[in-house]
Amino acid sequence: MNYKEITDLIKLVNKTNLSEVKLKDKDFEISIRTSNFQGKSTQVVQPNPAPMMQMPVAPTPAAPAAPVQDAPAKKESEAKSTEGLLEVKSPIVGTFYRSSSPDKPAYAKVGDTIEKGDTVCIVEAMKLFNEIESEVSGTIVKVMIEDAAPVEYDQVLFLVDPS
Amino acid sequence: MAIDRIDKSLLIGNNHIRLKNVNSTNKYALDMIAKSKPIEGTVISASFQYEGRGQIGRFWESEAEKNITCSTILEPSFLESGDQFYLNMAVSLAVHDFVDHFLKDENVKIKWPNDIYVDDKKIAGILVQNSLVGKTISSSVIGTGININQVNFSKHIRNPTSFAMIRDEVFDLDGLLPWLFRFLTKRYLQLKNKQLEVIKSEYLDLLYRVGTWNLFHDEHGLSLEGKIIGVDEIGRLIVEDRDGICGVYGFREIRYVV
Repeated sequence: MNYKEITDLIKLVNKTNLSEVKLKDKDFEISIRTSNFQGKSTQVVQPNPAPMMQMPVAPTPAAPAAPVQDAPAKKESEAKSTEGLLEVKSPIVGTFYRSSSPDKPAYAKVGDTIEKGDTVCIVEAMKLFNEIESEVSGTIVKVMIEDAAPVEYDQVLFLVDPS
Repeated sequence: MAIDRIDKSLLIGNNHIRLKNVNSTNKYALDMIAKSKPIEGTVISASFQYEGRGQIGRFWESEAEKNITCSTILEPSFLESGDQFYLNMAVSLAVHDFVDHFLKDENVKIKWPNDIYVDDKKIAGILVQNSLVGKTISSSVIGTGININQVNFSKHIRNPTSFAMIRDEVFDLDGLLPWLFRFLTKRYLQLKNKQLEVIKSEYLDLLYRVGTWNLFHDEHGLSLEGKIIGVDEIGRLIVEDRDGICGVYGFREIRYVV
């Protein structure tokens, strides 16, 4: 798989309600987890060495019902799912922006693969704009702050899965 | 440090890229940083910016070949991310010094956090865009827009003024730019030499409407009468009210009623 095929696959998986997709092929293996992932269900898609476009991906169910869970149980699984994840924190007090201007796409969204040094957001402090470069590499699992919300020093902005 | 003595150590503007048209000099500078390793002090200037930028989602209006629109690339890695307001104070002082040098006897002030005013009118604006890697400022682009020869502005621009409007003469832009570089260099070296208290006290002395009773609006649009008495360590404005109570305000949490 080339880079474009991988990013296309990630985008595709994100549009579905799947929590995880694993893909194996001779000497290649990829595993994509989405924010739905809670450490349980694993769906393995094993295609023939055929073009990507023919890869069977589960169709998107129309408005799937979210699994109903008790609040405490959900909390537990959330805590569990943050294990092994890395954090991108704000080095300053300011206002968090996900893109460079309202009409521009977000620097980083859930499912995006980021490299060390990539800009992931802007934190504005007293009209000074700060592009925050990630110090970690991996896949964005969660965006912790709403766009245009205030952030404190050392507050976690993103959770990143390094695997 | 006398301003005419620092030419030999001139850092800012030694490498000067002059563009005719560009979307925004800040954007051009940020792209340069992303793609290559430009020398610190590199300046990008443009005769015309067709997407000149102000704050997020706002534009900087400037007629072609009338004004100074340039961006300076700095690497203030000696400064911690949390101390960036000192960088803002240093560059605000530099632009203030520049305007004050050519408009002597005028009342040139810094409107918090980084606009330059002559009396109650805006003559220059600054847009700082940093890249932060953890606690370090790895690079900084200082965009500077100074109204020089423009005399007509769009109606939606509040209280603009320019060198030409004040002096009723046309200024030579090419002759002015090196002076801006000198003042920027002087203030940047002051910052680099850790003269932080000097920078802060000069900045406070030059703040527009400092120490006098004035009307402000808070973020909810409510009026408040207060007196600016300083800025805190991250640059928030400290305003005292009539009851002697001090409030601390971030950008957008308070604005001057001009």
